[in-house]
Amino acid sequence: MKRLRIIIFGFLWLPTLLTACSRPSSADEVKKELQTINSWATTAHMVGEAWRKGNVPTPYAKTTLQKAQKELHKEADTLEKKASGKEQEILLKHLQNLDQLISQISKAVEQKDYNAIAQPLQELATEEQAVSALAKASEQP
Amino acid sequence: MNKILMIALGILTSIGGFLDVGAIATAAEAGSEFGYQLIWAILLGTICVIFLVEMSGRLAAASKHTLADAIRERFGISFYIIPLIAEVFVDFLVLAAEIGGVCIALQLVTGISFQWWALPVAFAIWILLWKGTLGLIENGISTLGLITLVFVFATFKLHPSLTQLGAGILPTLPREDVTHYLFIAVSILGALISPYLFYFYSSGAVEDKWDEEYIGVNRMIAGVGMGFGSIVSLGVLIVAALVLHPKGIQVDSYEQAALMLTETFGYWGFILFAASLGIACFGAALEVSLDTAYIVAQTFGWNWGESLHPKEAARFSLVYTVFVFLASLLMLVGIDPLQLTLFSMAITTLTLPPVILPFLVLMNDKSYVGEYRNGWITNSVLIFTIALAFILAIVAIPLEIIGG
Repeated sequence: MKRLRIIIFGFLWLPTLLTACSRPSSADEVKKELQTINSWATTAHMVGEAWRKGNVPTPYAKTTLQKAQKELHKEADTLEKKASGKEQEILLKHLQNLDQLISQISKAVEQKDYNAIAQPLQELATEEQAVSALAKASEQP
Repeated sequence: MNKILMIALGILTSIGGFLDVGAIATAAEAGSEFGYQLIWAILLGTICVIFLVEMSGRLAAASKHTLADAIRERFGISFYIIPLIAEVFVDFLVLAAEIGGVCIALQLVTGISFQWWALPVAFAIWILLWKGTLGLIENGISTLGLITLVFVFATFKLHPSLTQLGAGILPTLPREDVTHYLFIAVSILGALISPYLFYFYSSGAVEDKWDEEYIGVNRMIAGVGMGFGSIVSLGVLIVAALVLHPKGIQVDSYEQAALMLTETFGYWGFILFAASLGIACFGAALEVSLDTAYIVAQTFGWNWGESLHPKEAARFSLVYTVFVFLASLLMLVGIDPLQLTLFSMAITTLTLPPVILPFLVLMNDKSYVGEYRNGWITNSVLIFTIALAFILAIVAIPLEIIGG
């Protein structure tokens, strides 16, 4: 019985122990956020590009672009808590740019304007590269 | 039915029915985040599931007992109640996730939010269970599931590096995000080694009146069918690794996964993804609903059988009716289908030990399987699988908290 209690006690403590051992640092958390931002920005780009080529239906493109924007807003809220100072300012600026560009893409999709989508897609690619560079820079010790 | 035709149909339906919401979600997430690094998890899960499915079928053919019947009879109701409750709970989550998969497939094509599809999809599942037969569900829907082979064709078209694929066969840890990597590995194993498969397969075998003559058929269906079926799962992982991983897209929602086939097949790639997701999840939803009705009816000694008229098995039919409706409510309230899928796959691993452990006794008990007892190879794999199941059950929740 005593042995069983020890096993149950150990089992219950295991999650706490593992959580404590693996708690990520603030830098790790920011890096993770940057990866998520990059993932959703690239998704929006890929959706826009696929819609322009007629590879995805308009309702799907609209829904997914809205979802990408929603996720990026969530990231902005998270970064406001986790990042600080200059880093926070730079990241929020990039998020603002991404938000504006995805809005322009969404508008073009909404209006089925295949010409108007090219410019924001190009600018989005530049923003993605900037976010990707920041994510890589955060990997440096 | 001619045995060769039966084996061929069995293999085809095993391939077509291999993918479900869990296999698609976990393989897509694994490929997009860790490239080929989690191929080993799919291979390991496949080996375990081949042996366990073969044993479920052999038990049914040799003893004329379903797995649920045999566990209850051999160990008593006080033992069986644990796996029963666990299985019903997990089936509920998995069914909700499968319904979610069908709803998402419809959302992808129509743009109408998945929540609106929850009740119509539940009704479609119910009407097919009410009016259909086991043959229709086993063969008809699973044959439609062959559409999922599109992931294998896409793999060939994308020309993956064989050296890199080979490297994925050996388990290696990533440089970062180790806990998330392990969580995905556990989820892949949970998705592949699904307890509902064993209960469903053995119940189907008893309903189809298998006897000792079917031992060979069973072995072929389990080995070849499941083996080839896993290639579809590998296809999802490889395509995600080749298309999404290099761009840095991590699959956090099905909308992202839907882009996997558009670069290879254009607009049809998108449609084929939605169709694969919808059909695979619809087929699995039928099986999970039936599985729950089977195990509950078998526990209480009620009449059961999908091929019986609902009037002849009223309580059996009532179980799946209530179950399908309740599971659809989870989607109706708007729970994220992908998150629910990953959660239910991790929870599935918790139920594995009480479900798999009885195999060791039953499959070595002469009074059940007679001369068809396990050999040393089967027993070795079974003991390894039981050990794996215990490890998975212990680490699943901590990994869910830390890396999920």
